[in-house]
Amino acid sequence: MGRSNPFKCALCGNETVGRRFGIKGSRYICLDCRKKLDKYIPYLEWSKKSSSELKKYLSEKELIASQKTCSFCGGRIDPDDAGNMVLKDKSVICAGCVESMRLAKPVFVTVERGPGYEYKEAADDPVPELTLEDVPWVQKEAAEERERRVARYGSHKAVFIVDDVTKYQKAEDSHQIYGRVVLGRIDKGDTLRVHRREGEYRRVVTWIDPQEFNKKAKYLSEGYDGNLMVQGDVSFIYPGDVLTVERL
Amino acid sequence: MEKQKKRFDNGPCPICGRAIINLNFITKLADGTEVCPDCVSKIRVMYPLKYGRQKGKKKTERMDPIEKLTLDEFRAAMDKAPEYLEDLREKYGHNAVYKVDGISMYPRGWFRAPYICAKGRCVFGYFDINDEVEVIHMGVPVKAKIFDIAREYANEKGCDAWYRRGEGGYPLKWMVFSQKDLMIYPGDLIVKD
Repeated sequence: MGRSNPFKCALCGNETVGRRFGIKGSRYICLDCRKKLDKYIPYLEWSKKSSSELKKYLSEKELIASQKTCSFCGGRIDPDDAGNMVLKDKSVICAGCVESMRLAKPVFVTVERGPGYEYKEAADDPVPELTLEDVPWVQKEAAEERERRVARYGSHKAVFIVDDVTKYQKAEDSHQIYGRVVLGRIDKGDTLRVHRREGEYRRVVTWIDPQEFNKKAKYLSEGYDGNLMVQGDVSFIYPGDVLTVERL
Repeated sequence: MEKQKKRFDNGPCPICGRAIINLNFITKLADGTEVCPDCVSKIRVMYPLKYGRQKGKKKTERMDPIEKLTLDEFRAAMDKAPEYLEDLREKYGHNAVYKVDGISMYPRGWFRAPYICAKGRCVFGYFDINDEVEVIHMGVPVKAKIFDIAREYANEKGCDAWYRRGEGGYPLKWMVFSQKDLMIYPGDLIVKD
């Protein structure tokens, strides 16, 4: 049952009577706006955002949904892909173009104190601050960096540098390898290879766990950090190891 | 009104570019630059951490040899670290090695295995709770299972000791075993393959 007293929706600004849904800052949104938001993010996520954050998010998503091709490469834009981005001059670029720039413009991930004094991850992405004119030279910069890395590590499907190895407590005999992808892209089912003096060890990636800001990604691409879940013993992997990744 | 947000970082690391988050312990080099813990862990095997008491002081302190390096020396050490690790692996012939410095035992009553706490340092590799290891005494290996691990200085603020696991180059307060017919002596090696 809806309430009889009218209220002003924090997103569309219309005075409406009926069901209201609370968001951050003790404000409410109407049923129509909720239906729009539910298309893109779940209730538990949008209910914790403020009205200004939601307005920005919704306008970006609607802009991406309205545009069918990438403004830079002309390729088709998949509206369900979380990697598509809106640039400063309101032009939309696809996830592939964003990934090709990531070596030159990596995401700066840090920790901040939220409104409830809780620690949470905060990510500064430099790509939305670019314009469409900046994209070619940033891609060129990233390509030069990629060439340097290929010369150093060799050409593989991906190269991963280990920072930490931990036992995964929830599953038996499985480990998490935390680190950064320096080249290429790692998918579920890929094979990690470690070269030691006595020979080569191989392990298969059973699951990929990206960072909090990149949670929707199904793979780890270059420039991103994340956990690779591996079945079996990994006591021969140490911090600082360079793992080469192949699809066997 | 929204409360003001605060960030907990001291800028990017000069080596990897990640944020140096000041909630963790930050290593400051001799030339004043700060380095993130992930980069430090990559050369920790070459420069093991020690806790000790200096002359005339009552309090035990953290003695970190990495703090005496400059940024260029740190970068050079990162290039040498993989070779150094391979040499250690070849020398010991195992994936992880722990050197026992001292032993303390806590009996738990009749018919129950005592707690055997082995204090020492992790030479290289990684040990976790419930790992199956071998205790090598006078060249004879005995199989054992790790019951608990605690790093040195667990209650000190800004210390990475809250981890209950052993990593290469870090001293351990104790590695606990609870097993009948197991004897460990100072100087023994605990290894994992």
